[in-house]
Amino acid sequence: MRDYIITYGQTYHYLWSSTLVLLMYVASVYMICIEGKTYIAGKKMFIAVPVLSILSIHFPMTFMLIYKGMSLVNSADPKYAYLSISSIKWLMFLPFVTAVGSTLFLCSIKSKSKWKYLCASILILFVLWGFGRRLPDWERELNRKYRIPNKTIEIAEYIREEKGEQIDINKDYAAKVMIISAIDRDVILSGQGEDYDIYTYIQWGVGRSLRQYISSVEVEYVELSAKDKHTMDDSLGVDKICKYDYIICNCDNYVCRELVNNGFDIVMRDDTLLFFKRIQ
Amino acid sequence: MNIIRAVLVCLYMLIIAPYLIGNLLCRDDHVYRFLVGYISEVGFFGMLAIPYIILYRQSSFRTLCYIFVSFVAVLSVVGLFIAYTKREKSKKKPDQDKLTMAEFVCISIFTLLVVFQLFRVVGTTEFEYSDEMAYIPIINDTVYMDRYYPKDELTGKIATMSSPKRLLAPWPGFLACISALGEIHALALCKIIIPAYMLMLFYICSYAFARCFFNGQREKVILFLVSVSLIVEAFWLSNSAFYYIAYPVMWGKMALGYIVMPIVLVYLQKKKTNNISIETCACFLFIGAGAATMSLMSAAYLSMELFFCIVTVFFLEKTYRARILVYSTICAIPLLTQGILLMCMEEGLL
Repeated sequence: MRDYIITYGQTYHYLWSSTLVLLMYVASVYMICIEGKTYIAGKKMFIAVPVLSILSIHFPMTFMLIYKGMSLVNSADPKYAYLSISSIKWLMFLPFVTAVGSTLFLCSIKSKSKWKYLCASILILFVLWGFGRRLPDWERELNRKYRIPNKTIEIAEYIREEKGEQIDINKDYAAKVMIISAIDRDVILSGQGEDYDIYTYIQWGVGRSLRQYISSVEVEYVELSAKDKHTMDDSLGVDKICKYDYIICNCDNYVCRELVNNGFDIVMRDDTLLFFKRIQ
Repeated sequence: MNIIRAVLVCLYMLIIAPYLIGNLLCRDDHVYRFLVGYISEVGFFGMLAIPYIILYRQSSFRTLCYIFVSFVAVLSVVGLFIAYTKREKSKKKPDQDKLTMAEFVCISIFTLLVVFQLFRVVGTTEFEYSDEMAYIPIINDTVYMDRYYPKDELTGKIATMSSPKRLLAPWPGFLACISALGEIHALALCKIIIPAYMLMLFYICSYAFARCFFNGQREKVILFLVSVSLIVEAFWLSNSAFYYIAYPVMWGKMALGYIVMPIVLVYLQKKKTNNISIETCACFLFIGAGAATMSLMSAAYLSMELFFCIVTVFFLEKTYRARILVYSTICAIPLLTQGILLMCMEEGLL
């Protein structure tokens, strides 16, 4: 079930999300047409512009999502999917239109019966609040433990203390950092499982966050495939690693031994990463 | 001392200066003055920064900051003067009805939700999206290197060619300006100050929208605000259709989508009843410039909105056509300029 959500959830989740939102939107526009006549008079722009904007974006993008998104799970290009799908999120007027619809609905009920008004308020509260929190998001939330790079702050502080922050732009960098994530390429492409979480933690969480804390580092990203995991070939030879002051990696096998044998020492470590410093 | 400086810079750049600039451009009430002033301030920065960065790419970024602040200071003084000379004599406001119990409950729910959201937006230290990971290093590098966008944001290598996206929509530059002037670390600015400020700005914008749509009827405005805050709360998590509103609140895209575009719509609606004035034309010009500065997406999305505004007025509301056409065209000028510059840069002509 978990794998299903992670793998297929991304695609279907967007469809579900955008369909839900579209339904809310249609209901709101209906309410505005029924109840909001007094307000729309002379303000058709308020309704027509959001409607035209949403229709002109939603349908082409949904079509693109269905056309491209369904094949995504196999073609393994989640970035492309994400970009195309995120365009749907440009439904900028939705909160305003939906809120206008809800307000008019509540006001129309209120004039009839206070009890109905109370029930409708609670219903809207649950619809707006409850339905928004869907299973895939809940699942994502659980997996966020890999996305909070606490160690990054410590690493950044360590480098800053040793090398300093302010550097001359015309001179060399204060510190060069290499980030090695050893992972099977297929795992990256599948976008699932614990290995993938560790990969995203190392690459995105630690690697890209590092530069938010300290400006004076140059970061090089290296991915080792499963094949390379047990041998340091030309892509990660001794000559290359010796150019770096620090190395962060998630692998605890041959690469780590090679690093220690070639003048690096472990400074920090936790369950996910190792932080090496060049001592020779 | 640093904290006092940071607080003063933030207060001035984000609250006082926008309001005073708003006085200069806008004769409407305080809410509109503030919103229009803020967007215009960003627009002023864009109008100064884009030529400066393109023509003097190797020059000091702090020089640009000082030019911008001097410019803002002059505009603020003029705005203050105008506000003082044209101030309305205090009129005794008619007694307003007291809040009903239902309204009080709604306001309490709304306040609690907003406070809860503010705490959450300020408290988060997660890094999930590439834009967020890009902006903070850009601001950091710009402040430390004293040059706008000197490095690749992710690797830290010297940027041999500046990205058209960063040059033509220098929203990170505006934030870097505040960071440099107030000596505030980019992380603190982008993860604490700006998100909280943007969230408040969004609710002020929602209030302006509701007041305009419901003709100022208090009960409906309050219900609207509660609904909006519930929607934001419901879709707070990432990957939902509203996530631009809630999650990355510091993005230029968010500001464009949930602050600038609604305000353009509301302001066009309000200005249907007034004559064409140079003041309002200037206002729309700076709103367009502000939108262009915030996000490169403005060229597409705000232009589309303006186009639909014109279409709607022509086919549905057969009055005030000329005014909407004039204001929309003026607002679109910076967006068109941005689009043309982007094409030139993509083709290697600039």
